[in-house]
Amino acid sequence: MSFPPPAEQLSLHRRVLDEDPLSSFDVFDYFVPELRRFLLKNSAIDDDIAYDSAIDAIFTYIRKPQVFDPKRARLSTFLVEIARKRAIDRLRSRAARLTREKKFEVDVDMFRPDANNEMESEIDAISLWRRVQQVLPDVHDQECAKELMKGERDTERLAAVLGLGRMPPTEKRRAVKRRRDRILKTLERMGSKLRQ
Amino acid sequence: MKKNSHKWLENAARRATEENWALGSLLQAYLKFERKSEPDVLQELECTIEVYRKIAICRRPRPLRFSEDVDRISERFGLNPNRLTAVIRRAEVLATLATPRDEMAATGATLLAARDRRGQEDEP
Repeated sequence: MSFPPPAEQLSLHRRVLDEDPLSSFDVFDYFVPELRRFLLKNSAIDDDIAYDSAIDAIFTYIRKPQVFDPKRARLSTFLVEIARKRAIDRLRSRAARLTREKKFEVDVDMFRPDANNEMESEIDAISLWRRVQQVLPDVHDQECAKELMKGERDTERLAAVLGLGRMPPTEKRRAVKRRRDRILKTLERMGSKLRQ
Repeated sequence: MKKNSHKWLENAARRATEENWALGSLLQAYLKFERKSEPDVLQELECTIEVYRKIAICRRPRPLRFSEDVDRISERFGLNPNRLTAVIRRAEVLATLATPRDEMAATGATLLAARDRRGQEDEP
């Protein structure tokens, strides 16, 4: 399997410009599997990033198809370029998130009490939790922090403790991400202060 | 349609709900304003979730070629064009009614209402 022949790509581009209602579906159908295959073959990324980057490239193209100049390149070349850039952005973003999460875990670990001394552990935990309550006065945020400390990542679970369970899926995902990032950032700052 | 299409189709259809050009955003408006679930709409359109996702990544029918476009989408995915037309038309109206006035002015959208002719109420 490979990208469609140049003439077919050009014809598809004309249909996209003409706002043919089936053209967008056909672009996805023709190009997503091929873009994914290309990205997996030519870069060290996983399947999820490959699919997401391929889809990103097509949405970018469909939003402004006039940006593509068929005299300069094939549509497949144009889409590969966008997909490759999106894959790099996603890799960078993932690396930054992992670094942030790792730092948070280190901060929490530093204040994890000695398991051999039960009473001391309990006092330390209570003291640490009071600090969390100070920096996160909202009860929902506190519950969410507990879940995050337990390693919970499921959006539905986090949405439930944040009281966002009834939102439409897309808005819910965004809202959970926003709150989760804010909570992690706050805890990270708290960890840094305690360390100092 | 290629094999393993479900892997990307679900993701693309979900993202299409936020794209103004896509039928997916219109279907999303329909779900939201009619307070319906996806299974409700699948029943209305008499289609599978896969077909629903496929039409979500199609473009909205062009206003001047509305019937022709709806027919082509319906034919491609084996849908009843009357049912698809009903859902799209209703979604368009609901989405327009829900658009803030400033935004409507910016996009050039207009709402028209019927009005009596001048002096008509005085006639016997």
